[in-house]
Amino acid sequence: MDLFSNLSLGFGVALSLKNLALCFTGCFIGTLIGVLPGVGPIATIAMLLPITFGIDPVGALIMLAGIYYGAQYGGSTTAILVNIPGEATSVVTTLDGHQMAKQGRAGVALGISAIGSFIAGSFATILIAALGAPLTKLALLFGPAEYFSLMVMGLCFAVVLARGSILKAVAMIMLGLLLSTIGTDLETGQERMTFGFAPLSDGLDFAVLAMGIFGFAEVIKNLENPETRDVVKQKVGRLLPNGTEMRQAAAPIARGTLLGSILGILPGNGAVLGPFASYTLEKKLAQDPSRFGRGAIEGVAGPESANNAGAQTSFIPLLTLGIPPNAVMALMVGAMTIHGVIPGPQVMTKNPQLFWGMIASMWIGNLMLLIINLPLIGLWVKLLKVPYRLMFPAILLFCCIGIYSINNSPVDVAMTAFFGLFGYALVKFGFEPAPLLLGYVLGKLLEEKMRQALIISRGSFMTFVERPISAGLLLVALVILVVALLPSISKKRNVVFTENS
Amino acid sequence: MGKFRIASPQDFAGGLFLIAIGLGAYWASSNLGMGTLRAMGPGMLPKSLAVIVAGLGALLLLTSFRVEGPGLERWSIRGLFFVLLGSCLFALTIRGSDISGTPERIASAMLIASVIFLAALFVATRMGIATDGHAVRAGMLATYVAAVFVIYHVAPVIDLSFPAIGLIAAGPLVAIVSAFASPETKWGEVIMFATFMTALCAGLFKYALGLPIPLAPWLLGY
Repeated sequence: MDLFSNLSLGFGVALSLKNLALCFTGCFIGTLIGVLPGVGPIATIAMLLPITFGIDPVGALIMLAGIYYGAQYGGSTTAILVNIPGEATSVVTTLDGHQMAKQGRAGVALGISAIGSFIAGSFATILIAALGAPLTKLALLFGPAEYFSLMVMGLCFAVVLARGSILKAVAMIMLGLLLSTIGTDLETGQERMTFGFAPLSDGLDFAVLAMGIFGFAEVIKNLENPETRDVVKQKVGRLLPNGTEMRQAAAPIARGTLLGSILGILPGNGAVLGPFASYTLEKKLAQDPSRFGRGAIEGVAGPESANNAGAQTSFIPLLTLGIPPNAVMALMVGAMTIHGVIPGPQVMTKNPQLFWGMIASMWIGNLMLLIINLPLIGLWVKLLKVPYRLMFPAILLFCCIGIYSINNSPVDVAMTAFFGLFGYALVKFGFEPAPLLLGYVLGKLLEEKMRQALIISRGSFMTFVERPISAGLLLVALVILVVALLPSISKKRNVVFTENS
Repeated sequence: MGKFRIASPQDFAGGLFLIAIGLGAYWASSNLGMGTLRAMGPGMLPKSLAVIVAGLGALLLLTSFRVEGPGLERWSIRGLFFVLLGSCLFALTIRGSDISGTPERIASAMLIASVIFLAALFVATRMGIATDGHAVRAGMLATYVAAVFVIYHVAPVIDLSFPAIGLIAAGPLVAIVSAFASPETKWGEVIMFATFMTALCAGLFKYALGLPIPLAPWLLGY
């Protein structure tokens, strides 16, 4: 079978001693940085991007993927042990995971989340391998109009998935798109909004923007709250769940994996939804829902599996269509471009070693997480006991060195500081920065495809609705927007009603 | 309804913020041609997006009069200031810089203004002048921006430049300056930790990974 010959090619690449070592290093360093409270996968990858520069493309991407999983798992560790979610996807884990830790079952919570993640990761790896080829063929049917509509759909998803007001989320998307137009125009070569400032003529580096908003602004925000970190004082306890716990967790892991995989494929950061959906589902299906929030193992196993499955299947839009579905994948695009690989359907045919090697390494990476994390939990607990007053200068130092090293440019560090201020202002005005980042990520490609489509159609916007695939995608976008708006409309109506009465 | 009231100050400020960005972006892209839909010019998208952003800002502003929402949050000036100062100092000193280029001029103007600003703030709090309240804070911000503007235009006359001190010195510098951001800082441990972390980073980035980051140009050369 094709699938197996491809996978065996991949494992041939990924199992070389050098790539195994890179995968291990990536997972280890990723977890190490990801465990630090307030440093999510985005900041971790932006910070560690330069360490992969000296490696060949295959090795570099394997290492980066390892860093990503490591950072994800590190985030869950922090969520369970200190009740601080490293990022949006581990918010749910804090609910029951931290309760389990308080009951002295931290080890089991960490263990089951590692096991669940491994199972989810294995399934997602097979899914990527199976879906990769057909989706790549689908990509060939896509013209500029379809790409445009797909990205619009992704942005609509991002609006719906953002917390808080829809209006503010839309504003953030538009602001992200606006920021992406800074730099040299693709067609005419004219400089746009650069104020004659040479470092801006290539556009803003995505790592600079991401690090400013998710690194610096986060540190400043954390400094506002006096230290209230309570690392669990209870024993971590045994790591491996016993038979009863495994039986309890088995079905949630399966359901979480399935949910997370499906949601992860959606463009527009569908992966964020996975853990929430899984938690809600488990709570609905449970015989005794009151156990949730008090240390139910299902509430850790399900969302953690969904989290990891989604993290992995979000590679699918990137590798098959060349569209990054979230900020982490956008950083991957950056890394790929640095190594001369342009993500998209051609990667699989032109670079089968890289494509299948990376997919195989995903499975190996998940296995490594299981192997390195379980014995190293003591180390992470010690690391989490380092007070924030010492941690934040170190985080800033890493950030500065990381950003400087990406382009060897001191100006980038200063610009990151500026976007730290910008990100902090956004938070203070109640805007959520994630949609802005996605708008920025898709902005350049969106403009390019829109201009191409309009040239082909001679300036007629009808092209987007006349072509069936494009029309279908836009229809989906419209439907989700309307559905999302409905409760918000009724809520606003309620407010108006209470004012009148 | 009674007297005029802003129901959601946070949304009100957010709306103003978006409008300011939209107008600024429209002004910045005013020299770019719109083109036609058939052949879009470089200015088509930036200008349209600027208008949309400002429009959404206006919408947010309008809803802030009607829909109840949270008040304005306090900005922690101390954290903001020292974290950004530390990283700007890193940017200015890692390879050194003279202030001939625009970015360096802006950065050093901000730096000088910040030092003056902090001194003034220190004196003001000692004299018992309240530095709280939104009006005072907005005034402070405006003064600061004005100071940066003035120094930016005067700075070339002063001719200020920063030496290239390399990672060995810039590393502890960013850690120690940013440590001022936290009231809980203990200086002994910060200095030790900063030195240790810098040594670690130097070993990792320069020697293990071979990245071209200057360690100590004044001692070892580039």
